This record gives sequence, C-alpha cells and structure tokens, in this order.
Amino acid sequence: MKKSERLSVGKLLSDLKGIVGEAYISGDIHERVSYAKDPMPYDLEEKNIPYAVVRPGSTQEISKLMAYLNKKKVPVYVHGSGTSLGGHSRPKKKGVVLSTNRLSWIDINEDYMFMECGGGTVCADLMKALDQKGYLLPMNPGSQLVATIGGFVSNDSIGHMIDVNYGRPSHHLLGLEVVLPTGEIIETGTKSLRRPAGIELTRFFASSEGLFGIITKVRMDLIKKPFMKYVVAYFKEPEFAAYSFMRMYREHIPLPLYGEFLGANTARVGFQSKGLEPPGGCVALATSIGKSQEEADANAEVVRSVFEKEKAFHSRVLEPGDEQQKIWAARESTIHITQDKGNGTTMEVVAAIPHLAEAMTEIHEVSKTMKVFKDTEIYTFGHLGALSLHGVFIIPNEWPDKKKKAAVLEVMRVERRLNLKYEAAGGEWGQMAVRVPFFREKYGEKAYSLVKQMKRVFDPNNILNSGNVEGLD
Amino acid sequence: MKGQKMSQGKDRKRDQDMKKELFLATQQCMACKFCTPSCPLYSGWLTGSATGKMQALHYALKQGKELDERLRDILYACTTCGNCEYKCKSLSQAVKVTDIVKKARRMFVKAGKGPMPIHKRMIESLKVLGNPLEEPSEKRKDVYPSTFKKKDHAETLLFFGCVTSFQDIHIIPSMFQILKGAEVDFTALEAEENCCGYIAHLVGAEEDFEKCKRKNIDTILKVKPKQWVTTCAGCFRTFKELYPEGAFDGIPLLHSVQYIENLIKDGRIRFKSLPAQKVAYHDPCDLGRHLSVFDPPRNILRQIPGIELIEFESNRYNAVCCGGGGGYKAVDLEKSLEVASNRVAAAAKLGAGTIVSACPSCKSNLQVAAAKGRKEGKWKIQVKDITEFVAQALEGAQAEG
Repeated sequence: MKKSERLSVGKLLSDLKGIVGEAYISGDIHERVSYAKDPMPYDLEEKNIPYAVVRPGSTQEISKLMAYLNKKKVPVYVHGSGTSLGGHSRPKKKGVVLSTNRLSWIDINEDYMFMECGGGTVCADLMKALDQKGYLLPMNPGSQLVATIGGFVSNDSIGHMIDVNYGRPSHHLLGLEVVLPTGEIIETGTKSLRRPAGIELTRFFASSEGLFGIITKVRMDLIKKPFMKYVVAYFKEPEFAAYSFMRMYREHIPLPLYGEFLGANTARVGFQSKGLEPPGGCVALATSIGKSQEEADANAEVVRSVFEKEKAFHSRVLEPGDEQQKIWAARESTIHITQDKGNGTTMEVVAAIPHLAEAMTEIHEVSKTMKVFKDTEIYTFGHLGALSLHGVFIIPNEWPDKKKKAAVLEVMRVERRLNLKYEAAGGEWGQMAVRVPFFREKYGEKAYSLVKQMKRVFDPNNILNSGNVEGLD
Repeated sequence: MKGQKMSQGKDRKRDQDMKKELFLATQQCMACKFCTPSCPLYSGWLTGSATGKMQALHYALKQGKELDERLRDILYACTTCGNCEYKCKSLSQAVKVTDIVKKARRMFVKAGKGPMPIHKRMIESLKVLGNPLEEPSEKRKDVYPSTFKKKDHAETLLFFGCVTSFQDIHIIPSMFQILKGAEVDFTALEAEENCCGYIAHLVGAEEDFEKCKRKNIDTILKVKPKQWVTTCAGCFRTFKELYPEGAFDGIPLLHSVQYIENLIKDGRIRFKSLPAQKVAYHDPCDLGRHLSVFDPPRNILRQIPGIELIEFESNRYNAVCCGGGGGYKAVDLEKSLEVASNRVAAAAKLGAGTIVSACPSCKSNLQVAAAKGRKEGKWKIQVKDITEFVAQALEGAQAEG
C-alpha cells in the first residue's frame, strides 16, 4: 500500500471514531474479515475486506456517518446480521461495514395498535415480545434467531409464510425512519391504521434491498395471533404434495399459514437428526389457522383430507408438543443439516399455480442437466404452499474458490431458467446481487435501467451496498 | 545432530498437520451467524462469537502469516462452554468450535505466543505446587474436619479439585458430613491431591497436562478404591474424557450428584424438611452440555422436603455459562462477572431464593456476582453447591441459621 493511501485510511478511521466513539469502531483485520464473510459458499474476496467496521448507536450517528462517507465517496455495506443467502451483505468493494445491531429496541403501543422497533432488532426478539402480548409478526425467516427486522423489511420478505394470509411486511408497515445514503433522515407513513394512499415512500424503502436507504425504525400494525393446528403428510412421489396445494388454491380451501415441503432425502436426514423415524418418502407440513381453536382444528382436518385425496400414504393432525416441534425443527434445520460435506448454495424456484407439480418434478432432476453437479445428490425442500421450492447444492470444501464461484453461478443460471419457465420470480433473498441476470431477462433492460436510475436518485455516489445493482457476474 | 534435525522435522510436520486440520475445520463454518446469540461473551462484535472466531482463524491460516497477539486474544476470549456448538449441532453436523479453539490455543503455545500471561503464571504454579492457584499443597486440608484421618485404602475416594480445596469452605465439610451420615468407608487425598490438569488442557499447555495425568493416575491407583467421587464438574469431565481410556484400571468415577443420588436410592441417607424455598439449578457446562448429566442433581433436589425446584429459562443443553470456564475468568474477571450477573439476574427474575450448582467454579463466579448484586440492592439471592443443601437437609444435621 502506498504511503498516501495508508494515511487516508488512518484519517478515515480517525474521522469515523469521532462520530461513533472508540468503542464502536474496529480497524482490526480479524474483525473486518469476520464481517466480510457471508454464507455464500466461496471465500471472501481479499480486495473487498473493509477498512473498518462501525456500530453506530443512533439514527443521528448513522446520519453523520452517511453524510461523511458520501462526501468521501466511501462505499458502505449495511450489516443487520449478515445472513443473506443471496450475497447481499457481502462487500463488493473496499469500504466500511456498518452494523445496525445497536439499534435494537421494541415498543408495543396498544393504544395506537402498532409496534415500533429499531432497525437492528432481531426478529426472534420481536416475535417473542409480540407473542407475549398475543400478537403475530407477519413474517418468518429461517434466520429469525439472528436476522434483523431492518434487513427483512428492506427485502419485504415473509420467509416461510404463505402470501395470501397476511401478505408481506409492506402490507403491515405504517411507517419507517430511514437514513438516506446522503445522510438526511426522513420519516415516512403515518401513526394511524388508515394508511396514506397515493405516493407513499414507505413502500419504496420496504422492498429496495437496502439500496435506497438504511431503515433505522420500523412501525407496523398489530396482528392478533391466530389459533393454530399442525398437519403432517408423507408422500411417495413429490408431485402429489404439489397437487395437494394446487387443489387447495383451486378449491378455495382456507390455506394454512405455512405449507412446507421436504424432499425424501432431506426428510430422511432431517428426521434422523431430530431422533425421529425417517418418513420413507417426502413430507408436507401445514400449519392451519383460525380465529378460534375449533376453526383452526377444522381447517387442519380439511388440509389433511386434501393430502389424503392426493395419495399421501400417511397423514395426521399433530397435537402441539414434542413430535410437532421436532418435525418443525427438522424442517428449520434443512439448509444446515445437509451441509456436512461442504457449504451449500440454494436455488429458489417459484411457480405459477398450474406449473407447481411440473416444477417439482424438474427441480428433483435438474442436477442431471448441470455441468458441475451432474453426479451430485441435491436436497430439496421449500415453502410449497407459497409455491416456492428450494434445491440445496453441496459444494465440497476441497474445491478451489474459482470452481465454487462458478458452481454458484451455474445454480443461479438454472434457477433463472426455471423461474422464467414457470412464470414466476421469487426472490425472498432479494432480486439484485446474484439475481441481476434474472431480473434483466425477466423484466427487460428498460426495467433494469429504471432500477439503476432510481438508485442514482437516492444514492448519487452509489456508496450504499454498492455493487448489488451491478450484480456478481 | 542428525537426531535433532529429524525431531525438528517431525515437529514442523506436526505443526503443518495441525494448521491444515484447523484450516479445514474452520472452513466448515458457513458464517450463517446463527450461533451469535448463544455466546455468553458476545457483545456485538463478531469476533466475540464463534462464527467470528472461526472466520478470523480461517483467514489467518489461509494467509499463512505469523500468529498475532490480537488473534490470540480473540481465541482466549472463550469460556469453551460449547453453547455455540450445541446451537450449531441443533442445525447441522456442527462445527467443532471448542475443539478448534483449544487446538488453536495449543498452536499458539507451540509457537511460543501463548497462553495469556496470566495463564503462564497459573501453569508455572501448576508445575511447582500442583495447582494453578499459587497455593501451597498443605492448604488443601485447611477445611477438612479436624476429626478426619486419612487412610491408605478405602471403599470410596474423594477428589475435590483445586477450586473446591483452596477457594471454598463449605463443599468439603458438606461432602464429609454426607458420607459420614451414610456410613461410607471413605478417604481423601489431603495435600497429596494434584490438579487434574484441565486448566493446562484448556489453555493449550498440553505437555503440562500430560504430566498431571501421570501424577493423578499413580495417585488414584495407589489408593485403589472401589469408586472415586469428585465434586468438581471440570475435574469430572477431565478424568472422564481427557485421560486415556482405562487409565484408572476400571475404577468408576462418579460426580458427587450421581453418587448422592445413589445413596438416596439405596436408602443410606434421608432428609428432613428445610424451610420452604425456591431453588434454581444451574447446569455447569462441563457436567451438563458436555456430559449430559442433567437429572441426578434435579432428582436430589426434588427429594429434599421444602425445596421447590425451578428451572432457568435456558436450562440443560441450552444452559448459559456462568462466565468462568475455559480459563476466561483469569483473563477478564470483569466480563466474566458480568456474564455471571446475567445468570443471577435470570434466577432472581424467576423468584429463586437460591441458585444451586454442582461445580465449585460456577458456584464461585455466581456467588461473587450474587453478592455484588445484593450489595447494590438488586436481589437477595444466595448461591450454594448442591452438597451444601444435602448436608443441611440430612436427618440429624444441625439446622442452619
């Protein structure tokens, strides 16, 4: 490194320290490396290891940081908890990582019927606080233990939930506090349950993947927690699990809150890991809901009967308890449990209703058409009720980094082809970063150009999560 | 000269193998960061969590650069409680975090860059005095009852460990009282007892640990009891897991909670009623998460009339560390006590009047935190070892004020 560069890094660190205080900035290489590595299965890029990690404690501090970094044109990567499986939180350029984990607070206001929380609040903490008062957080990320609400709202994801029940976070947002890349703080929305009509910036930020601003405060309406009942069914052929949900949609059967799927091999390792007898086939799980326990029970029975009609060789309503928790835990641990021989990369394929069974067939056979994974067993699972399927491709640890990255790109290419074929998009981990080629093909160059123009409006120097719009390849 | 070169060559090969092993083991961490909330020391910086430690070590090994002091500090800032590993295991095949941390510490020691300065003092004391606490061996019998007469052989041998012997005044008399009450033929080692060596193993001083092993095996085999019993969770795990299999000629080792549970089952001890009180049982990591001994202490407490056993929200495999393990307390006492205070606060929130544990190190750390909180008027909670409750509740025992 040249002497002049060294000095400028020193000045940068010293200026950042002036804003957040010595205890909340780190220039230590080990810390910077830890924040640079995300769950993508290839190693971090050394050239992108950040100069520093900062952990501001307030909206005002974030505002000062952004104003300063924008002036200096230093890229900033926001780190809620860094769990993105789509490469969003990985620095794409050398810059500063900004952790939001000190913005963690919760205020449930039952007079106004909303809750407010800091953007760095962990979803599980929020779920617990709401649950204690009988409310539901209308999203369920697999990473809820650590994922922050700011990241989730930025992506407008609902994770495992079926959309038709509660919609997406944006349907429940009453307002946001956002720090713009240029440092200004803006408030959006309302404190009333009557949301503003017309142009309302809340929705811009609530699906901007962190490209337009940093969400520092979230306000959402309170949703009464429904009563629940659980159903499990085993199928010999995965297509019949798909037929079950297709039938539920077509026949307007009350859709469960969750409709999960485990492919046969995924179910086998998942069940075994929880000390359960392997089911001997693939598995569908459903959580039916109702305004009373009787209604939830009745809905669960209807769902069970649909599974039965679609040739489930075993189906039953589960009582809450040990078995139900273990089966759900087997589902929750899918991505991890399959990765004993290497880290995985996960494909997200969504289908329009008529294509669901065909998509199911194809995702199980897709590896045969792939160069890198031709002889590899893939693990399938998904949020079948939400018409979403995943394939986990294991990338052996011993592969060189170049090959690992090529493998990820191949998985993304196949994902792109399948989503186009089945007339859907998905994108629970965002549409940009690894998915840019899909976005361009699906929506066209004009649409992509509009996204880039919008990015420039909010972020003229392209410092916030820079590189995500440009994509990986 | 030739022999020396060969030995150096072997050492180098061993070091390279160790680095390769650690490089591959740390690669298993996918950086999902799901483990971060489980670390009792995590305070917002990733290197304070397992995932950060794994990533930092992996990168350093990949770079092949000199091991630096900051990485050493990161790796020694771990209680080896294994909560992260358990969380990882509940999701996956599990990154072997505690094993990696201990091996990495060994690497630092081998390179002459570890352990931490305070650990060096402790290891020096271990070598000279047979304990890491810089205490003369003779002091081990300070709290032995004056009536105790050491025997060369007995049915049951008691092994107390260094923390119990030098830093606690209740556990040894309580254990003696229990065994006397049950009319057991027993003895203890007095000044002849030597550290189990756990601290040496934890901080990476493996050669010193090997020396402890040899001493202890000789001592136990000399007494040749039918069984031996320890009140220390750390000693228990060390003898059970880290000594060679069969080293003690098949003489069974029990933790005091297992032994006392057996005495109750055999009808050799009976309890009178104690004043009504809520007691929260704190699972020591070495006894609980690492060795799955959960029920015996709970069964004992349920047998004592007057005690209402309550559970921490995080219990058994999910139990949060007291903050004192892994040699960490010596490195950062303040932070270690902060962790202990969190645990005491959790018990106080449950309405517990007493926290009871089965490890002198947990007791010691929680006790200091509890006393500090009492002084500040935060709570009135007390901390005891399970042997103290048992001794107090024995039929015929004097009621405590």
